[in-house]
Amino acid sequence: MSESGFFGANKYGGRYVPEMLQGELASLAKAYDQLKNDLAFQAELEQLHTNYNSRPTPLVLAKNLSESIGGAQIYLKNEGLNHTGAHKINHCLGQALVAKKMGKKRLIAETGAGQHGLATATVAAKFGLECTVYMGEIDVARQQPNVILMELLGAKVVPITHGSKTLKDAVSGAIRDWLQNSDDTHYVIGSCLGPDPYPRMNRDFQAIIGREIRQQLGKNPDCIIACVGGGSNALGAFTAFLNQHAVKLIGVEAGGKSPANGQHAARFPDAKIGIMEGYKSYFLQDEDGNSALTHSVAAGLDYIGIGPELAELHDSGRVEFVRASDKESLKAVELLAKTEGIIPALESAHAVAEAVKRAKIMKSEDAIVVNVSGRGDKDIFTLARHFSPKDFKAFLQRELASYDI
Amino acid sequence: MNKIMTHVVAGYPDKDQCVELMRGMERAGASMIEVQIPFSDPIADGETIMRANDIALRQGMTAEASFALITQAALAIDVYVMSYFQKVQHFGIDKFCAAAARSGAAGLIIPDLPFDAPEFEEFLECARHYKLSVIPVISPGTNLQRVRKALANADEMVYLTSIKGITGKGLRADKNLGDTAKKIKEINPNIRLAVGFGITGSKDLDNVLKLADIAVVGSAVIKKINQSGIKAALEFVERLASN
Repeated sequence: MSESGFFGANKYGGRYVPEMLQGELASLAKAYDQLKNDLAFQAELEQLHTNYNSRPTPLVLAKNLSESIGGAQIYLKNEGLNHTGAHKINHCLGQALVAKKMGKKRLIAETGAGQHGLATATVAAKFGLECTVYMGEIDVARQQPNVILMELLGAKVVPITHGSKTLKDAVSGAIRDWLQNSDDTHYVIGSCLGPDPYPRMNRDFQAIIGREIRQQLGKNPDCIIACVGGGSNALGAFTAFLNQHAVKLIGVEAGGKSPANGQHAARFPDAKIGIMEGYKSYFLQDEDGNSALTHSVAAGLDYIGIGPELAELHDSGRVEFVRASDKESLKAVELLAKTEGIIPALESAHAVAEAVKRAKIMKSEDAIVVNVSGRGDKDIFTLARHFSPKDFKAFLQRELASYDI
Repeated sequence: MNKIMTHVVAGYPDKDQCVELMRGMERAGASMIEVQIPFSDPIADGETIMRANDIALRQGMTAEASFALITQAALAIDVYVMSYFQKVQHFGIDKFCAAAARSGAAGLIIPDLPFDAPEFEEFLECARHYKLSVIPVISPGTNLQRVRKALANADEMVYLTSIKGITGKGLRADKNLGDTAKKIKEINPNIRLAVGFGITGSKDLDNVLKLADIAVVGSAVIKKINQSGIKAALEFVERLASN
C-alpha cells in the first residue's frame, strides 16, 4: 500500500481488512489515483455539480444572528441547498463517477438514518446504475420515510435482521455483498473513513466546500466551525485551509444528553486508539475493546469512530474539538430558523451552537464560517417531538385514521 | 479419517457449554479447533457467527475469559486462536501472545491484520517469541504477489477462505479456488492448507479435501447448535470427521 493511505506519525487509516478485500481496495485506489489527475474526469464532475447538483452553494452573512449575539460576523455555508439536502451528495457523485469509469454496473451502501442511502440511491438513478442499500431492521422501522424515498428512486432496501439490527450490521451486510459481487459492484462509503482509499477519496470530493468558502469570502475567515460525525463535512470545509495557520478550525462533536458513558458520541477525550471497520483511528470502546454504545439526537453524529485524517488533525492540534449537547443543538435549530430563516439539520445545529458561544468572545471585524452541512427537513419527526409533540401526535392520529387499508 | 478444523466462538452458547463443545469436538474426531475471541464488530463474519459473537459478549465474555476457557478445556488437539486485530491491540500485542501461549494455543489467526500493516512485524515477533504459529488468511481473489508475501510469514499452515460458498454450485465451479490451492502448494509444498468455504455437509467436505489438507467447518456447526443443541452438533462433527 502507498504511504498516502496513512495519516501522521501514529499511522491512522490503513487497510485493516481481510485479504479477500485487499485486491478490491487496491483496484479502487489505482483507479481513483489516475482519475483525480484526469482533467476530463474533473470537468465531468464539475458539470454534474453545476447542472445536476446546485453548486456553488451560497455563503450567507447571518446578519440578524451576528447582530443579536454581538461579536464576530457569522457566515453560513449553506450545504443544505445541495440536491438531497446535504453535503453527502458531493462524495456520492464523485464515487458514482469513479464507479462508472471502472465499468461497475451497481452501487451498494449501508445506511443508518437513511441519508447516505438516499444520496446513493439518487446518484445511482442519475447514472443508470443498480442500487442496493443495506439497513438494520430497527433503522428501517425508525426511518420508514427514507426507505420509501429510496425505493421510489429505484433502490432495493435490504433490512438486516440479525445482531443489533442497526448501522454496524448494515456495514457487515454491505461488505459481504461487495465480496460476492465486486466484479460489477462499487461500495459507496458515506464519510471520510473506512479502509484506504475511502478517507482521502471522500475528502477530495468534499474539499470543494472549502475552496468555495475562500472564493466567496474573498479572504481567509478567522474561524471555521463544522460538526463531526465521521468527518466528511468538516474535512470538506477545513481542507483548503489546513496550511493557513491563522484560520482556526473547530470540530463540534455530539455531546448528547450528558458526558456519561453511552449518553454521547464525542470521541474526545474518551475515545482510545483502535482498529475497527478496516481503519485505525480513535473509537469509543468498552473496557475490552468492543465498540461502545453512543447517543446523539442527530443520527449522523451518533458514531463510535472518527475519520483517520481528523484523528491526526486532533493529535497535531490543528483542529480543536469541542462538543454541543442535544439541548444546545435543538436550541440552535430554533435560533437559526427564527433569525435567518434557515432550518439547519440537527447535525449542523451542533456547529451553529458552538458559533453562538464563540462569536460572543470575538471581535466584530472577525469572520466565523459555519458549515451548515444539511437542512432540517429530514428531522421533522425529531423536531416535532421536541417542539410540538401534542399537535404532531394529533396529526399522526388523523393521518392514521385516514388509512383504510 | 477426514482432517477437519472446527470452530467455536469463546463463550457461546455459554461458558460451560463452550468447554463441553470443545471437548466434545475433540472426542468426535476434530483434528484441530479454531477458537474465536468474541468481538462487537466482526466485519468478515456472516450472520450466524456474528450473532454468536453478540450472544457471547452479552454474557460478559472478554479476551481474558476466552483464554481461560481454552485452558479449562485442556485439549490434546491443537487450538488456534482467531481474533480481529482490535482485540489483540487493545489487550496488548505481547500480552495477547503471552496469554494465548499460556492457555496452550498452538497458533494465531488474525484475518484483518494484513502482512503490510504497520503493526505486523511486532505481531510476528511476539508470536514467534511465544512459539505460536502465525496462520495467514488468504482468499482465491488474492493476487500471486500477495499470496507469496503472505506465505513467507506462514509457519506451518495457511488458511484459504471465501464467502463465495460452494453450496449449490459444486466446488469445481470455482476455478479460482482450485487455482489458488495449486499456487499455494507450488510455492510451499510442505505447508498445510486449511480451506473454509461454507461447508455444510459431507459432499462439500469431500470436494474441499480433494484440494486441501484440512477442511474448516465453521458456521454449519453453530447453525446445528442453534437448531438442535450441542449433542446434535457434535454428532454432525463426528459424521463429518469419520466420513
